[in-house]
Amino acid sequence: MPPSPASPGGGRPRREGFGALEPAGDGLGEIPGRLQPGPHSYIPPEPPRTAPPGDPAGAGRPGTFQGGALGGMPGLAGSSASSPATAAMARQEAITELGTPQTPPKPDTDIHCLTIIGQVEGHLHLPAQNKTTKYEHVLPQLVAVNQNEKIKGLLVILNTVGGDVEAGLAIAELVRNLNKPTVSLVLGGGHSIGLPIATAADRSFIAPTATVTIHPIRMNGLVIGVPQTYEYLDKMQDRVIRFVTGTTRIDEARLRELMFRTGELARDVGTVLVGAEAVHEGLIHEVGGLGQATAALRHLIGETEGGGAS
Amino acid sequence: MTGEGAQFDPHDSRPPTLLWTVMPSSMVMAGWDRSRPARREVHVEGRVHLVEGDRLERIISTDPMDFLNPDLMPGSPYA
Repeated sequence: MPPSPASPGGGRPRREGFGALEPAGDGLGEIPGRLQPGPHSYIPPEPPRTAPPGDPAGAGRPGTFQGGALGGMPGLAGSSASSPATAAMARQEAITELGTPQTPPKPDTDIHCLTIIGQVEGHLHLPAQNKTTKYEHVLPQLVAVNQNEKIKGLLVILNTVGGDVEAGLAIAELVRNLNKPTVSLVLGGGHSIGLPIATAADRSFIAPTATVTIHPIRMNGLVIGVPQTYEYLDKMQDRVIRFVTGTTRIDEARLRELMFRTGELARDVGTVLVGAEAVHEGLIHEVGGLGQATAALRHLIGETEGGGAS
Repeated sequence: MTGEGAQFDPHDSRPPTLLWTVMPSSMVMAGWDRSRPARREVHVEGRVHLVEGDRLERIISTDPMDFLNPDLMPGSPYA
């Protein structure tokens, strides 16, 4: 594979056009064994191997909830499944939370999945009705992904309506400069500040039915009445535009055109791009789903580990 | 950040919160002036767990690996 062009944003070189993906075997590649703990690694508690006495749900079968997912953490529900009462509590909790006592077993994987959902929450604590992705949780998580040698790649799943500009850009910058392969997948929607997060990955995918909305940055609840406000908004918008044009094939003029287009959105200016349209505009690499995104990430991991040969 | 309809103050040097979202601001910010449930802080193994009701709201930790722990994700049940 020829060397990739340097990143305009100063991050790792962006991987372009590596052609048809040839995943090994079943498309998921080899899944290595359980992660070995490093000096700072989180060691997940082992679920109990035997069913508690009198367990009517047949605990002990693969896939049966046994409190392992919540086990071992002081103060957390289901912290131990050593007694029948605790196991029953854990099973009750699984029914309450998931509607079934049967939960899939925890897979061993070297891919970390980061989900960006709802509103990207930044400096402001959003009201309780919002589903949010909290930047104070995601930022150190990305640092941990960067540091943890057992994690080989990052898969970013997006279904977001946007949110705080600075928090979104902070996440996007970290994804962009991660020292491991990254792939993003837009499902449902990757609107507003979700766009730079999606384009920050080495390879980006969008589901055929997913949409990306591009519209001007607005200042929430603020009456725009003085020049300083416009200047500030303009600067913020420039930051986003610079990031997106630096990580995609779209040029600034076209992005601004899409951003300020009238007649497309009922109550706003801007553009809604559905699946292939986002690819056509050069914002997203490919239309695809989880299978393609995972295969692409495996491909990139293989390239990284194989020194470029794959 | 200012409330709905508030005026921009050119002398206020604090950076305002910019929301770039497709959802109407009124929907996102509905109830922002209502108080949230009380939080309690639980100190566990060098971490601070901020607990709201029976849910873990978030953690404060200097060890980034804590943020990979699925049991410590915001919203996790907390006994």
